[in-house]
Amino acid sequence: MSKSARRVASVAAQWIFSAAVVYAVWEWLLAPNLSRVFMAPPSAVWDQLTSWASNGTMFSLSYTTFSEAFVGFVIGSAAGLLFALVIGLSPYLTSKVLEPVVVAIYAMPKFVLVPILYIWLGSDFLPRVLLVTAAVFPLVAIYTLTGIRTVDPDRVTMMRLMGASRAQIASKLLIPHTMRYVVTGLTFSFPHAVTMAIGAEILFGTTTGLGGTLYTDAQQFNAAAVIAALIIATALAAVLTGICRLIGTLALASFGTPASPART
Amino acid sequence: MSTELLTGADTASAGSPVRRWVRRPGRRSLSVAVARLLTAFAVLLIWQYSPQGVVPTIAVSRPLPIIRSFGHLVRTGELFSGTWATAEQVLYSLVLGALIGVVLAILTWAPIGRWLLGPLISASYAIPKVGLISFYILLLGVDTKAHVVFVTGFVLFAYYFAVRDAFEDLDRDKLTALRLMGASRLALFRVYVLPSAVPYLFTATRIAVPLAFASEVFAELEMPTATGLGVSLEQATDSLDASTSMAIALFIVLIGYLLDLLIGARLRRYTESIGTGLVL
Repeated sequence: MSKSARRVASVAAQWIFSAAVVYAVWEWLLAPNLSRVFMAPPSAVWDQLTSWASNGTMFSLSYTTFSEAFVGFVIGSAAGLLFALVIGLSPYLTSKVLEPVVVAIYAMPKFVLVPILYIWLGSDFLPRVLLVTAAVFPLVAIYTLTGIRTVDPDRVTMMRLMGASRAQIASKLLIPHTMRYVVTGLTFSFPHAVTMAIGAEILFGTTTGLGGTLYTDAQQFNAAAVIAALIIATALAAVLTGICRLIGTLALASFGTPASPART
Repeated sequence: MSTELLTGADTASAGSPVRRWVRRPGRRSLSVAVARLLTAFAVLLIWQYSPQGVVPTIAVSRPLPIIRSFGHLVRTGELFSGTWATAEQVLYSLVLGALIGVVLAILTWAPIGRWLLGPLISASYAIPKVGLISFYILLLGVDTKAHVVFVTGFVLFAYYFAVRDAFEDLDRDKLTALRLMGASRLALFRVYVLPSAVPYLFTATRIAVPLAFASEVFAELEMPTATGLGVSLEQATDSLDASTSMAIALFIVLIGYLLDLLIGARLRRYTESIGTGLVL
């Protein structure tokens, strides 16, 4: 057996062992000693998952959460990019005045907006999307701004001395340099968008989406459905994070890896 | 596109007006402060005196009623008791999270521990933790214990990953040298491993404090107990009191902003003073 095959076998054995331990503890220790109201056995959760998979509920729940996350992500990214460009390309004083807006939105606990959005817009699709937007916006803005601010000034001077126009400086230096940071920001913020969408569905008390199911089934003490929804949410988040990382890695391969914004 | 905007402060010495500003940094930062104050004042004026319909006053009220509500919250002591209750839960969660995170990192330092616990930790980390709140409500009910467990679920990973990074960055040659000099496992841990992990623990705390605060507010909004900032916010919203809602919400935003500012600056000073390569 080759070294890499041995390694794969070891990792597989490690995961199978862990899964077996979790199953044993759950099936024979937790489930029999706790009420079915609080803890459903693995078989009940499996039945719930197969039932949802066969009647299409699993897809519709995931799709609702995904669509909220995606729309909020697109709006938040566009707003973050635009705001970062305004701050980064404005004169010193304007950028210094606008900067605290991004920092304040970044530092604020986003869920504090829920009661305000609830009174203003209710609990439908739009307020949930706006909450996701509030989470994505500062992340993309900070990464983009870092990209703009880390452009090498010597290179700018050199290009200017060589007679490059502003448009050329932007297209040949600023945009390629900043794109690496933008891609990292986008890759990093999409998994956050999914988590925020689930959190928004729970706090707005909706009946749709994975968060809505978590909320309503907890109210009805349906432990099997709560655990099943958690498993789907974890799988969705893991798959989307994986896809984002792959896209990000592929995109970054053409731009090079940026430094972390925290380091600049 | 101006040259300054591309290069930021680095081009400050390029032009003579800029050079004048650089010579007098006090004047420059004063002008920034004045500009920020004037902008904030203008925003407040527009918010206060804009016609009905421009600002959704039903949700965000207006500055003067918000200030009055804030004063009322201070006078009645609701703001302080709420802040204290929230801070208490955050503190318990931080202590518990740090303890569990550090113990897990120590356990997974050994290959056997990593083999046994690695997949469980990776799988737990992948769970969208906000979703766990429903599970905790089922298991523990609407109780402060559920808050602490919920927030700890966020915090422990910050400490776990920080300490694990600290262990990975240990100088292997130094470890071997200490072992050859006859240091026991405990002495090795006390003399070399623990001091090396301290800056990483500070970094973890910087991440964990705002995270714990935000997740505690989430927990209080979803599982309102007796007191807490999130509880007060939820109560004000339920009674459609927009000015009190906004006063509490803005106070929470202010705390979040100050935490980011204070912890970041203090940690930066600390790491600079001990000369570590940690960049915050």
